[in-house]
Amino acid sequence: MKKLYSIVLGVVLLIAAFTWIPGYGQTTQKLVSINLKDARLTQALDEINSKTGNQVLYKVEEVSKETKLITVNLKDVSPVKCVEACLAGTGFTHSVQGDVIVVQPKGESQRQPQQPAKHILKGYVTDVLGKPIEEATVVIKGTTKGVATDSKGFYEIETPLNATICYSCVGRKNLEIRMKGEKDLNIILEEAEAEVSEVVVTGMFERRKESFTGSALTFTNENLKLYGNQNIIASLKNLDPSFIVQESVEFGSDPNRMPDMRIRGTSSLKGDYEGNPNQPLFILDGFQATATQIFDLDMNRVAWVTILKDAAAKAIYGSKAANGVVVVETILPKMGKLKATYTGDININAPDLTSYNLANATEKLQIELGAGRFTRTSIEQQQFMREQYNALLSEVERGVNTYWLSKPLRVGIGQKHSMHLEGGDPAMRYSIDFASNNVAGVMKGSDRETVSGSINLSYRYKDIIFRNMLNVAFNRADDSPYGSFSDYSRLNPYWTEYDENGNLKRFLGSYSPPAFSGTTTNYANPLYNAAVGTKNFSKYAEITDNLYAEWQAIKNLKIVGRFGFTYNNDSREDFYPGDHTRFNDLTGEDYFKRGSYSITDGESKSVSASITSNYTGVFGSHMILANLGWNLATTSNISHGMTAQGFLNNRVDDITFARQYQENGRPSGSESITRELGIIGAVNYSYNDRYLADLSLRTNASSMFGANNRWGTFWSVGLGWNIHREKFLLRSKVINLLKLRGSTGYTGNQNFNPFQAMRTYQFFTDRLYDNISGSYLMALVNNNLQWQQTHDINGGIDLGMFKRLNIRFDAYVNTTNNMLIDYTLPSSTGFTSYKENLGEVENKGFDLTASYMVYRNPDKDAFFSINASAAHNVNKLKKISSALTNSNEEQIDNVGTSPLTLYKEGQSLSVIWAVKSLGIDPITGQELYMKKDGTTTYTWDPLDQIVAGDASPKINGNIGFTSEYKGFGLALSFRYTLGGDYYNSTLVNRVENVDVAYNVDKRVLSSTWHNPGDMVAYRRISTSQTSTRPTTRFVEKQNEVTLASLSLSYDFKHLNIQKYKLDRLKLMFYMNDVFRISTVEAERGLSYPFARSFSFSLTATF
Amino acid sequence: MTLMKNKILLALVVFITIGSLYSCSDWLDVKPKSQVKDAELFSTESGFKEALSGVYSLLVTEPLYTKELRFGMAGVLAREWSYYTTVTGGYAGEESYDYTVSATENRIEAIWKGLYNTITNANVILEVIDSKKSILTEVNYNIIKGEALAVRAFCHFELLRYFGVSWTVNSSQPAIPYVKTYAPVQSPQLKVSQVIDKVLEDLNDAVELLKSDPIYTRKVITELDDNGYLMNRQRHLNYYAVKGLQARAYLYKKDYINAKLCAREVINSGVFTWVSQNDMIAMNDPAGATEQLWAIDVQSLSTIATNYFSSSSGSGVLPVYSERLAIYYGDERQDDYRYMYLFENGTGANSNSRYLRKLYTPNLEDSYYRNKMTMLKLSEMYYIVAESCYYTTDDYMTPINDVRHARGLNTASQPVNFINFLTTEFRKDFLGEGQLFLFYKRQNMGSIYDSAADLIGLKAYTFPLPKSETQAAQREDNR
Repeated sequence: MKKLYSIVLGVVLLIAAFTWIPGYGQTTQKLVSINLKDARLTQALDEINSKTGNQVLYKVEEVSKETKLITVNLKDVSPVKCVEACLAGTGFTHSVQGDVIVVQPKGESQRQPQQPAKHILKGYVTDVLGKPIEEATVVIKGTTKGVATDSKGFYEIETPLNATICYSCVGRKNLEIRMKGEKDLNIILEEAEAEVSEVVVTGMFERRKESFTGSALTFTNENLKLYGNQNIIASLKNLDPSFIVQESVEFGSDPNRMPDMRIRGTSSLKGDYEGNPNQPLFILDGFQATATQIFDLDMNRVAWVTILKDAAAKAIYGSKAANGVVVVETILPKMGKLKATYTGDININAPDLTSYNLANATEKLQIELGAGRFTRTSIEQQQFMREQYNALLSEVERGVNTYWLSKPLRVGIGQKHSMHLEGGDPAMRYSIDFASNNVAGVMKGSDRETVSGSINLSYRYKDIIFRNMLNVAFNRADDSPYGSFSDYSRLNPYWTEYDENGNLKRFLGSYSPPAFSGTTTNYANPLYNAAVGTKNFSKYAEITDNLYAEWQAIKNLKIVGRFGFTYNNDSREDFYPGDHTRFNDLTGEDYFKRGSYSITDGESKSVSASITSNYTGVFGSHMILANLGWNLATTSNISHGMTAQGFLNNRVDDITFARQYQENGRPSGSESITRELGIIGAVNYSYNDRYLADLSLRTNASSMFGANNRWGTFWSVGLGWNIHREKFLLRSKVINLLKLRGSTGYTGNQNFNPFQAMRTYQFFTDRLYDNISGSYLMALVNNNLQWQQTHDINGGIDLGMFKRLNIRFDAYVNTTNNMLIDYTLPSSTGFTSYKENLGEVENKGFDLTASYMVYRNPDKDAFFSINASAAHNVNKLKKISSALTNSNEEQIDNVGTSPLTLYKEGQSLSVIWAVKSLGIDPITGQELYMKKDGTTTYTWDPLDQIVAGDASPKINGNIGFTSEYKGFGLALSFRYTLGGDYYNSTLVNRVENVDVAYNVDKRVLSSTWHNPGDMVAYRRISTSQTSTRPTTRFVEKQNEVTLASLSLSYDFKHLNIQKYKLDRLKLMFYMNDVFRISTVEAERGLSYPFARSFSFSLTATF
Repeated sequence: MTLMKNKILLALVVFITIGSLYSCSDWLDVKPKSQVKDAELFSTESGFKEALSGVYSLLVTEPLYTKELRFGMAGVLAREWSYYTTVTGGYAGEESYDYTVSATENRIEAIWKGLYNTITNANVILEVIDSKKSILTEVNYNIIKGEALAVRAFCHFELLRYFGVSWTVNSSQPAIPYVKTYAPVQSPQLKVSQVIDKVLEDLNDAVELLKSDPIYTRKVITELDDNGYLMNRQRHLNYYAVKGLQARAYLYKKDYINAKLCAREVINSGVFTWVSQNDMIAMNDPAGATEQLWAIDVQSLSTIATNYFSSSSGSGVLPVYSERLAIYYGDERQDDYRYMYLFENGTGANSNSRYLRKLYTPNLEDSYYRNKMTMLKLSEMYYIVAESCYYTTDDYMTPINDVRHARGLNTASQPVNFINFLTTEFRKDFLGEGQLFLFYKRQNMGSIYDSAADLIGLKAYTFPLPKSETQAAQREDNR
């Protein structure tokens, strides 16, 4: 650690040292040569202007009257000298005003002070990011009088007071400003529409889009907002088909659950990794970020997001990039007067319960009767059971039919407010952000609140730019006190929540078997728990400071230093008071143990530093962009936790009121440190912008790997051909873009437990031996453990036609070698497993995005564009160790009711294993299976399991359109997945393996077997719970279409909103996941329901 | 100007290069806080002591010597108790000697895994200790290495006793691997006779090293000597404990001459003495601390006693009903200290139950008597001598009567069937200590008290090799 600090300190000092380097790089006055014979004065001055960059100002109508022809021949003289020579003997004279030489008729200079209508206008022209625009033209409208901006974007022009100034530059939108007597006018020129993002931001360096050979997709803030206002991740899944956010059947739309995401298929087996091993790497403003940081990031702060998919794009991230990289850049402050932008959102989440098809009170009671819950053989017992049935029946007849599903739910209304202030001059710029986001989930009390603020300062001193971004975020995530939704979906509709006196029941009902044949069961009311005052929340506070320094060392060389620090403090508390029904079993002398409180506190710190040098060289037709970089990072995590018990009074909800620590409990905790460093080299070469090549090499080392294999080297090569730049296509009216790309290279994955490559001892905490606390070996370690490597091959084509159609297609083969798997050891070695780099997984597929501009009319500010995307991925396990096959066999013995994850060579990782079913035998009501040898049987045998399907879809993507007309905008996007298989576990558990004491699917009544001859799909239900094991009967084809998003917007730009001091005003309305059509009928959102969301958004800039 | 710029650039390049080279190897060597790297642990003498204590602590678990291999599974297999839970997770498999019942299978697997894990931990000490000889005192080097060898031998011998066929059946039947390395490689499966030879090899090496043991040198150790590290030798595999193990191993391979020799050395040393009647009456030493050649340190002993040996305990309780106890101790039971003082009467509904008191907390406060679970004790040495003498036609009744006298009984006359007589005598002394089943096994008894099962036919005396072993390694049938 000490060493790290000294290195980091060194970097900081070094960067700081640059501040005091005295002024080199000042613009020196250009010397010009001129050789004219018998030229007119206008010609001569034009010539000087063209050589000096419009330093000479004159009025054409005046100068063109001059008749004297000029002959001069000067070499390397100052422009003033030049002008002087040209004016000799004419009726004109000159004066120098700053950088500008003004040519006037003789004698007029005396009149000038009397011209109050003219004055000097100064200012800067920059792009949206605040970068100065060189050579932008600043012309007074209606004249030819104009100047060009200098290398720092500065201009100065003499104008009449009420002139209109036109600003223009190649590749940017023109801008006209009517002056109102300002002396300073700083201008931002936006990029022209046809050329959105000329560069690809890879997070570490910029690449020219024209010459880049990698597969990377960039989305601007506007693109993201077209598909929703929730978070970046939710929008990205509607933008890039290869960015998959796995829908969770279990956790639905729980706002506090991080989505499971991946790019282009699965490459790692679960279990060897902490967290989600297939999660892409996130880079926020140049530094690695967590999924939570990205999830909670205020969308309004995002400038753009780039998804890096192939080796040429991601190899610069080396050992972490195998799963793809998502690069997020936040908005840099823009120059100008203080400008404020407010965005306010109202988000409405409404529960989607259409997937539930539960029995009502009458049906449920009928099902119970049919299952024999109230049937006994002896008369006395039958009488006893009948009485219970009759009691329930009278409830049903009284009209009791409680719709339990709605009890813990609400329509969640959340608010989001975000304020952005920015301004500054070329030297110093600033922006301040404040955002508060309150997400209200559909279960009562389930909220996620994030408050964040950031200050972004940018300071420019000569050739050096310093930028500091300080961001502070606080988050609190409350889980619903109502607990799991599945506790409600199983309640019987013939129960009521309140007793006759209107009090909430603690127990909803009971069931007593006849005497001596069992004990009475009481059914607890989960609603009661919501009222006792549970607390389940987690929160975090996070501070991030990123320092950025850029130094234009020499003409073509830029050096960038970055230093980032993140501190995160998180905690989780779970409190269940003594009255909670989960403690019902603690009686007698254990009664005092009722109530539990657990607290976990964690802290993580990460420090990263990097230095990159960027070189740009143009040698004739050759262009080279070369980068060399070095980086270092360390992350440490620590957490502690404890549990206390015994809270007998609901009114106290603090851990200090606990009676004792949890019986036999111990404090828990974890700790980890990871460190890494790397060296990166990358070169982009282009010849004439036609033939392109990218090369990158990264070597990095990490503390996570075995001492024998600490360093890993990752590389990529990309080649490209801009066919549209070839002569035969240069003038084509059909094809305006045709680019072929290809790349190959290696990246790594290291999302695993940091200490498994190290022989370590742990100490016993629960016993001493002879008064010594003994130590024991943690594992049998593999000193040769190395990076899991993914070899990517990617081929792509970019096609643009008629300037209306854009197609982007990529095909890829990714092979993950050295996949880390648990190698099973004979237990006589002392341990049962050992990490080995043995496996191999291949992902093959393609992704395609296309858009077609059906209609465009800039005059009416109107367009209509349709877009479609598709992705296809096939996953195949190519090699596994024989030991893994053994563990499969062991698993087969323990198979439960849901299909196992079995790994077999040649199969996909998402294969569904089940025994072939021939349906329910109408005679016996038993399921008939087909054995591997083709014979039939009633016995389920694990060895008869076959590949019954593959859960990954054949194809998925989006189809939609975007349109605008005079400020009105409408965008619609459907998401589809086709050709996947689905094991309908909820159907199994709700129709067959049901516990008849609780509510079941309606289909139990209509589609289960009752009598011989019944041709039905499901087995008979009885009072004893059956366990239907994996059978092809429940494998269904999953084809789905979802209306992913609809957005409707109105931009007030066509109305005169300036009179209300508004620069911009925009209203938006969104609908997300509003409806869904699927071939699978299964309950979704088991522990937490899915939501449909509607939101209103308003953005105002003033 | 350009010169200066170049200098800065040069400085930067040099800095980056040096920075990355300088930092790499050391800086990347991350040390986890809750764990210690092996090199760090074995850099001091106390690290070796901690590692050795860890090895013993690994034996102090319910799947091994605080339950299953003492009174739990081993007790049920020998039908020592009148009552035990037979429902799922209970001892139904043991009751019928069906080792495929999953709860039983899991227990067998845990024994295998636990003992081999202990062996691996001992192997790492043995792998490192010779190169670190300089940081250890000579005595501690000898003792730590000797004990590590002895633990390795003990664990393998225990594995052989459960997973190898009885010597009487077939001494060349494949049994278990003898593991001497910490490595992800499969050690070869050895025959019963090969394993016992390896066990004796390690025990002989251990005995040589343990000649430095203060229990053998009679050096008096106090708190002032190395913080009293060598004070509690009976908690460790000391010189005499290893001698006792040698006697046990020689008897196992029917080398009666050597078995007798080793057992007699322990008896004649005079280090171990019988517990007196007064101490038994006063519950001063129910575990028999003075008789223990080796006892493991179990801090949770009082909880174990409450959980399994008291009338207020729940479903795990292991009582002996009074009729059965009368059979165990015979007509002379009113004289037998063990019958008289080592059982507690149940109360109320459990008034017919008798609960073993061996694990009860002694009334003497001295830590010498407390938290000790017998692993090897004096009476076994006498029985080894007796059995060895019987087969070598020597005087075999004297050693038996020595034990009887110590337990308050009169001299017994020569029985008709000595082995049956020895069995009943052995059972009286070893109830709840896990040795009875292994005694039956050594004698290869087809039928045992209170069971109708044919133990030989069921191959009940040999546990099958667990799946975690056979699925990852090619092993021959050990039964």
